Amino acid sequence: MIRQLRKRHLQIWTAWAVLLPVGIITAYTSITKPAVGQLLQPAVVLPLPIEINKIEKGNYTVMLRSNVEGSQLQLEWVNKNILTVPTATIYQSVTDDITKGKLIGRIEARGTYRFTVDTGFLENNNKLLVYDFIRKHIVDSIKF
Amino acid sequence: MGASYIAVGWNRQKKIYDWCIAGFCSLYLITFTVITAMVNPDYTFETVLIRSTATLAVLMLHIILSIGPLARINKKFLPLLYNRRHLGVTMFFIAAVHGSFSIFQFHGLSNTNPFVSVFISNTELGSVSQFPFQALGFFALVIFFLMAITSHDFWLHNLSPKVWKTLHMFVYLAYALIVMHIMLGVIQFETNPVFVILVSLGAGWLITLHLIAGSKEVKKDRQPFDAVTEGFVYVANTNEFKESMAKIFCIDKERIAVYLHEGRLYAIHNVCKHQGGPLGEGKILDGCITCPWHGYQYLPNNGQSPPPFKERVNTYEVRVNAGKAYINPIPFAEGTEMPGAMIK
Repeated sequence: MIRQLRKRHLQIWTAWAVLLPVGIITAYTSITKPAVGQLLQPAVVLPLPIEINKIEKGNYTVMLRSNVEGSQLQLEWVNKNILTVPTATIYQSVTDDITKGKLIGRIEARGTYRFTVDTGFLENNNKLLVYDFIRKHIVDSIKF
Repeated sequence: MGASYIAVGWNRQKKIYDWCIAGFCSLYLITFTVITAMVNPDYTFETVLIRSTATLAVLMLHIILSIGPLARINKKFLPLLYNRRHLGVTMFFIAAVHGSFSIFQFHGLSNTNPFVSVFISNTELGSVSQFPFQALGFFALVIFFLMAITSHDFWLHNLSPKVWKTLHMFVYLAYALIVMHIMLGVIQFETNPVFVILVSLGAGWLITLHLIAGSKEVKKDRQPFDAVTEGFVYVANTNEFKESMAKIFCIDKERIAVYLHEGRLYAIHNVCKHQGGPLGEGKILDGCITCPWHGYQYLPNNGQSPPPFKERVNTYEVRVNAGKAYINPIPFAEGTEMPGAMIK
């Protein structure tokens, strides 16, 4: 190595000896503390005991559950794999027209979700529409 | 060295070296995947690929940047230096897999061009914790790409050693970008302090190594020599030289390698024409001074590479008087024949 190159190497590493620790410490001290008690969604409620219906899809399983008396109906959504949509909303609707549907809740790419649905869900011939509200299109339609 | 260019000048050592690299990379990726599967059964292929290649590339970058100063501190590390380019190109490919899958996973599903999305999806340039760290990794990858595609003697000769070396010194900038890519990226989301400790240890290790090696070189450069008559400078006693090995002296800011070969002392410029390797840290093989970096060879009596090769370095006049070796630090033209000085 020629003298000029040796000198340049030493200058660069002398500069890094100052700048890199400054960068590392600055970045470490700037880590945002996790927010306490500010969940994006409420904690998942307990599943109702009776499984009425179950549909298996590639990346998720959808179940309808009820209590023993049959007075409550619950939709259980289990993401088996990470969804290709980062976040989506679920509607119940008789047709594929999302504007006429009723919002049930919001799911994200992973996790298990449970939502209360109307007790007349099945009798009214409803289906579930999974709606990507970012791209504004229906991702899936599920009929029990 | 080569009179013509071939893609890779394979030899047994290079094949062994490359098999070791391939084995190490495979073992690392498999181990990472298995541990991830055991600790986090919900993992996905994309995530484990992005994380394993990221950590492997960072580890390899640390090894690559350690080889230079380690070889300057201890000659035993020179074999690692000889094939460092292969390690560098492999590291680029590993980093490219990380970059490609990251861009695909985080930017590939939008309507915007994924590469544009890397730069416009986060514009929090004024925030430390929200800084667009992905752009830092992207720029580092561009530097690694340029280095990888020019990691061949064809480009060294066509770009000129000065331009080539300048381009390849951007690896230090790339390293700093990678450190900040990690610190402003994954570290902002990971609560486990082990990651910060590892990054700090890595940076501390490299800074210390480079500063030690640099200081050692400065000390060597400042070694004083007393001028004597007729421009000749006393450098050492003849019994300090070992057959087929050299001693390096820095006189008037130039390093000169003085070799003992078959009872004669020969002096040539210490800098190899290939990549500026220290010729005095090599040895004489088959009658030729052999650069420890990449094996370029020069004849001790005239500083010329043996035919058909055309590289030449300066030669110097050596005198021996009463068991003492003297050098005239004024160089002769590159390739000038000098008979050498008998030590007895």
